Order: sequence, then structure tokens, then C-alpha cells
Amino acid sequence: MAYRLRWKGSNRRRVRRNVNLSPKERAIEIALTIATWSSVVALGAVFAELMLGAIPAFLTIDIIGFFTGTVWNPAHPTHPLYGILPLFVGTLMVSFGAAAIAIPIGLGCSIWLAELASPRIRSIFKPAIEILAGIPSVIFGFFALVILSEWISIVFDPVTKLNALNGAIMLAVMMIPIMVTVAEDAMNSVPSSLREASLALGATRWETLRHVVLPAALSGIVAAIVLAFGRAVGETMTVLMATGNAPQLTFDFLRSVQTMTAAIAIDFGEVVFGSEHYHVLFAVGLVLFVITFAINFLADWVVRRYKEDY
Amino acid sequence: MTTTIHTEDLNVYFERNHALIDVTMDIQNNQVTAVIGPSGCGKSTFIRCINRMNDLIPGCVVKGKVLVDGEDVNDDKVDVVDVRRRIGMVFQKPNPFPKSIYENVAYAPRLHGVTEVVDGKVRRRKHTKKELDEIVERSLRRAALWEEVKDRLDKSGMSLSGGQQQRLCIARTLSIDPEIILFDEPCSALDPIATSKIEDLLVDLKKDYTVIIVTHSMQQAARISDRTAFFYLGKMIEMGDTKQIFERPQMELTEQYITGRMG
Amino acid sequence: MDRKLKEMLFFSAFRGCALLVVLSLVVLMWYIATGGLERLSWDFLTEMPRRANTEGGILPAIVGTFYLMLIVLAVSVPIGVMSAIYLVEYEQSSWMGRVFKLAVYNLAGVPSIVYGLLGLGIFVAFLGFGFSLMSAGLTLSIMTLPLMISAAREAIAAVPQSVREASLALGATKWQTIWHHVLPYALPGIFTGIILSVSRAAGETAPLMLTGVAMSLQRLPDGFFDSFMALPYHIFYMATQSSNLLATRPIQYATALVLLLLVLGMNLVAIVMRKRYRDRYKW
Repeated sequence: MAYRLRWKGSNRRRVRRNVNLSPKERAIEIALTIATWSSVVALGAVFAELMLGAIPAFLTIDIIGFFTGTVWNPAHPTHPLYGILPLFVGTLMVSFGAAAIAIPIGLGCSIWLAELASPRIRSIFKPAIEILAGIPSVIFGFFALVILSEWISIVFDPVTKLNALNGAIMLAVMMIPIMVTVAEDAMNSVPSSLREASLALGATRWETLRHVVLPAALSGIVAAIVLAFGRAVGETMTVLMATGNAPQLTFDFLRSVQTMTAAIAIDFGEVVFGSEHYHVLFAVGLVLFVITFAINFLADWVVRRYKEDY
Repeated sequence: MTTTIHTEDLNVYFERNHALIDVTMDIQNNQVTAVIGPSGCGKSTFIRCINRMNDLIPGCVVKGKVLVDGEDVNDDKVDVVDVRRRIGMVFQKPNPFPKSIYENVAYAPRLHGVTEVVDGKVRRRKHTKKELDEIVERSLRRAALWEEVKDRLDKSGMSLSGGQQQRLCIARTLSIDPEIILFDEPCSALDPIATSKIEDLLVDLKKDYTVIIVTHSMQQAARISDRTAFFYLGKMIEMGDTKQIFERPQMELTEQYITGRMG
Repeated sequence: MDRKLKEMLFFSAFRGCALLVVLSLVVLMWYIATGGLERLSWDFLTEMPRRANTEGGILPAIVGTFYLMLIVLAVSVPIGVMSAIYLVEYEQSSWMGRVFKLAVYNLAGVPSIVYGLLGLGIFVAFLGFGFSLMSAGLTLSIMTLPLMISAAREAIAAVPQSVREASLALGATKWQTIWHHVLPYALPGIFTGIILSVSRAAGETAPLMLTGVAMSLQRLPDGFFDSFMALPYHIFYMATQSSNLLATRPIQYATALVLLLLVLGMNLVAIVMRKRYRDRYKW
């Protein structure tokens, strides 16, 4: 009889314990438990600290005004306004803009890599993409600031040189490697027997891809998109340097915007420690945290829910 | 013949699944005992109770007694590490460590050291290089592998063929001189030639060890074992001398199985 | 439309996409490289900045980034690897495992700036480390922890169960099995995870802005509680806020090139290592 052992990931089940542990074995187990709990605590601290920092803001400012206000002007000496909408819209514009560019191109690229590229080219291309996924965001930001914005000025003649489009394009370039890595994995894990079955029925390669491979890999592809989108929402340096940092409520891609991440990064340079503005920034951080957490959760759920085991 | 292993009302549960039901049986010293039965009948589960390997499976509960030389190894107070040192196991798929052939065999002796009595005191010390070399050679010879690998002891154990890997695993088990050796379908991943080598080896081993083998091959059980136990759906249906089991089975289920009308 | 024609059209489009991706990244690196090489020299790497960063080198930024990587190595590697061992080999209670998976998988996607808020609130203010290397380093450590744990976890879980069984059946204890067998075979994978995590920390900017990176220092940090410069922030600062943005462009490019080479170099090592490891053990 073949055993399916579940040494790992075996939650609901207890393993019989050895009561004759030597002191050394016991000490090691305790040390490992402590280390694990410290990481739980450290990670839990992220959320706790955000809550603690944000609560004073919700006590002093108008919560409805915070979520519906259309003006973000926290530095005003007498009448600071903390409307998160301009920042929220800024974030959405930049990340949806980036997704609109990155999804088709990234998908095309992953299909090419998984289905069309020769094994030799793939064995170079795939690690290269993974290495590129590690380029620090400040470098993309720098490129957007110095080079890309110039090109956009020539083509579109925008109102301001640093604008939402600039940020969106740069973010798209950043998102693509993440997307390609995950999506290609998903397509690669579709067993070739499925492809062969379809091809043997006289389908063309494109028809096989369209009707067999893509549906089978769909959950992985969706997860790739969602993950990359989450990264775009949370990205700070690129948008900080590329979008011009003007917190105005606009839907024009050729104007400057400010995202939630950028507002936190920039405003903390001049904020008084413990002031209302300080706590409001924590509240913005909390909103950001909730959004990205939800996005990641969604990606995870999609993978779990629709995962096909081959 | 003396009884080495005696199980009494042995029951195993995997969560809600009752995998082994009231197994009471005796296994004799210096014999090859074969455990046969269709897939999922609990035969592997049974031998894994003897060296407590079922402990590793989350949610597995083993109830009842497994007396080895009169000591209940299923007792919570027993040191499983010690049990497994005394009762060796060879697995279905050859699983040498990805280390050299020498290191594969020397690993367990190194782990346990030498226990000796000096001036009336029990002392543990490390093996000398010479002692280790001897153990490695002796174990490999005993597993009928020495001649094939003596010139390349430093090569990886993974570089051997499947049958050689399995004999290396046997040598590895022999290195600490267990009393009992459990074989969990040791030939199921091997070709016929490698299988017959292992079978010869098993018969030879019973001179010094008590051998228990789980097998899905009735021919194999008939060829090498002295006694055979037939398991079906978690119960031990019948046990007796191999010849008797195959020629004059007492139970109808056994007869159906060995005549191929069920399986 | 003709089926063959349709296939050709789509496949050309996919090839075009791939080409576009390669092109965009090549262009980006080409600009950084050509722009940076102009200013890059040995002196640039080993000198202090002068005249509000408009002249001289970037030594304090390099050293600062190096110290940050050191703190991340010292903090997140032991905790991360130990947690991973525990999760794979020991953990068995239901809710803790679930909480942990939830935390690790989802916190890996939390924006780095949010970790900056954590660092500001806890390390800078609450624990009183001030705006210092220590605050920033610990913040980066927590940020990389999820990455670290999941990489190590994957590497450890990839060691086949049969190896553990073989060792335990010979009478090895659990820890002996982990120490002699599981960890040695998981080590290359763990190392890959470590390098990727540390390189991620090295390139991170946003958390530093909240935990006290300095705009310009003419000295090296004096201990772990001193203020510091860091390469990525130096790029940001010089490109957006320095006194003469255009005149210092070459410095900006060169700093970007240094950071790019550092991070890509580390990633390259990690990925080559993983590749060789995969070829070595085919279970």
C-alpha cells in the first residue's frame, strides 16, 4: 500500500509525540517555537501599529469627510483638509492605467514564453525576467523622471511633464516581470498530454491554446494579474518620482496626481510628530493596508478555489 | 523457534478511517514472515506499527500491544528512537541519502557510537576510523553489494542502479545490527533480476535476523517466506506456514485471493 | 477567417509582446548604464560627498546600504529560517498554522511604505532607537521576513519525505534527521531565498524615508544607532530635491548604476545557484 504522508501542511491532525525527548531535542524545539512566535508577533505588529497610529486620527477628524472629501490639503495652517479621495483616485488611475498596459503585453509575453519559445531561449529568458523583477523601484522612478517623461512630453504635449500616464507606463514595465513569472508557471503546469490530445484531434496550435491551455491555466493567470496589480497599488518610489505629486482630484492622465503611498512618503518629511496630520497619514496607511491585503487575499483565494490538480 | 513479536488487539485509525482491526499475531525468530493482501488491506500499516513509523503520520492513532521480546514498543513511555534502532526498515522505493556509498552505511553507526563496558561502567564513545571501515565492509558484504562497489565507495549512493540502491539501503540497515528487519514491498520498484538478488539476500538474512516482508506478489511470498499472513480490509484473515496457506488455506477469503478470484 | 492565418496573427502578436518587454528593459538598463559610466570611477565609490553632494563620491551611501543588509542578515535570516523549520517539521496545531500562513502570504504583498509606518511607530518612537540605522534595518528585516520564510519553507518542504523516513528508521532523532539530512539538502534553496531577500532590502527606499535616512553625511555611520545614507534614497534625493538637479545628473545616473549592479548581481548569483541546485538533486 502506498502511503501519502502529510509531514507538512497537516493542520487538523496531531502527530504522536515522543515523550522521551532528550534535553537537547527539547531545547531545540522550544527555540524554534520561540522564533516562530517572534515572527508572528513581528508581523502582527504591522497591523497593530497601524491601528494604534490611525485611531487618534479617527477620533479627531470627521471620518465621513476623510473618506468622501475631495481636497487633500493637510499642510494648511488653519484649515487642513483631509479628503482621501484625490489620493485614492490617484492610486486607482495609476494602477488601472498600468494594468491596462501590462495585462495584454504581459499575457502575450507569457504565452510566447510558455508555448512558443524554444526550450533554449526559455531557459535564458525566464531567469532573466526573474532577475529583472528585482530591479529596485527607485531606479524605475528615476528613469520615469529623467527619460520617460521627456518622451511623453514630445508625444502628448501634456499639461505637466510629470503626470499619471508617466507613472502608469513605468508601473506597467515593473508589473510585467512579476506577471510573466507567475502566469508562465501556470501555463507550464498544464500537462502536455492535454495539448497533445487537442492537437491529435486536428486543432491548430492557436485553437489548442485558446480552448485547452488558457482555460486550464486561468486561475494562475488571474492570480498573476491580481498579484501584479496589488504590487502596483502599493508601489511608492516609482509613482512618487513619476507622477508629479499634486493631490488633485482629476481623471486626466496627462495631469499630475498623487497616490496614497506617495502622500505618506512625502508628507512625513515635514509632519510634526504626534500631530493630527501624523495620525491621518497612519489612517491612509491603514486604508492602503486593507486594500492590498484584500487584493492578496483575493489572489490566494482564486488560486485555491479554481486550482486544478494534474 | 521462539516468538519475537507478539501483537495483541492492534488497532490503527487514520482519523475516522479504521485501518487495522484487532490484529493479534505471533512472529517467530529467524524466519521470514510474509504479509500479503490486496492494496489498502493494512499490511504496510501493520509493519509500520512495529517500528512506530506510523507516529509520523498526522492523525494516526495506534491502540493495542506490540510486544517485541516481551516489551511493549507501542507504549507511550518507550523511546521510539531506541525502538527504531533495534528494528530496521527498508522501504518500497530505494531511498539512499544523497551522500557517498560509504557515508550512507556509516551514518547510523556514527550516530549511535559504541557502547562498551570499561571497569564496570557503561561508556559511549565514537567509532574509530578502522572500526567504521570494518562495519561498512561487513554490512556491504552482507548485503551482497561489496564486490560491486568496493572501488567506488566515495561515489554518490544515488549513482547506483535501482537494485543496487535497494541493497545499499539494506546494508545501511544492517550497519547497526538490528534484531528485526522490516521490508515494505522492497522489490516493487525493481526489475526481475534485481528482485531475485534481493530475494536471495532475504533468505540468507534470516540466519541472523527476524525478517518481515510486506509484498503484493504472492509468488514472492511463496518463494521466500516460512510463514505467511493474509490481510484483508484491515483484518488479519489467516496466518500459517507458507506452504499450508498456499496449498490448503483454511479461510474462504484466503483461497479466493490466492487463486486470483479476488484482489 | 482562415484558421492558419488566425494562428499566425495571434502568434506574431505574442512574439511582438515578448519583444516589447525585452526592449523596454534593455532600453532602461542601457540608459542607466551609459549615463552612469560617465561618472563612475573608483574615486566615486570611495570618496565622501562634498559641497552638498554635488561633488565627490558616495561612500557613505554604499556603507549605509551595506550595514542595512547586515542587519537584515542578522535578524531576518535566523528568525525566518527557524520559523520555516518549525512550520514544516514541527507545527501541528491547526489555528497557529492557519494564522501563520495567512500572515506570511498576505504580508508579503503589503506595500513597503506601510512597513515604514511600522518602523516609525515602533522602532523610532516607541523603542526609542531614533532615526538610525537600527530602526531602518529592523524595519527592513520585518519587511523581508515573509519572503524569507516562504523561500526557506519551500526549500525545506521540497526535501522528500523518504529521506526523513530513512533517517528516522535508522534510529536518528528528529533533530538529527533535520540537521544531518533535511537542512543540508535544503541549504542551496535557503541561500537563494536569503540572497533574494537581502537584495530586495538593499533596493528598498520608502521605509527608509520614514525611519531616518540622511540626505547628506560626510562621514560614515558611527555605530548602529547613528544616522546614515543609503544608495536608493541617495538616488531619490539627488534626482528630486538636491540643490542643482541638472548639474548633478551624472551623479544620479552613476548612483543608480551602482545600485542596479549590486541588486542584479545578487539576484544573478541567487538564480544561478538555484538552477545548479535543481540539477544536482533530482529526487
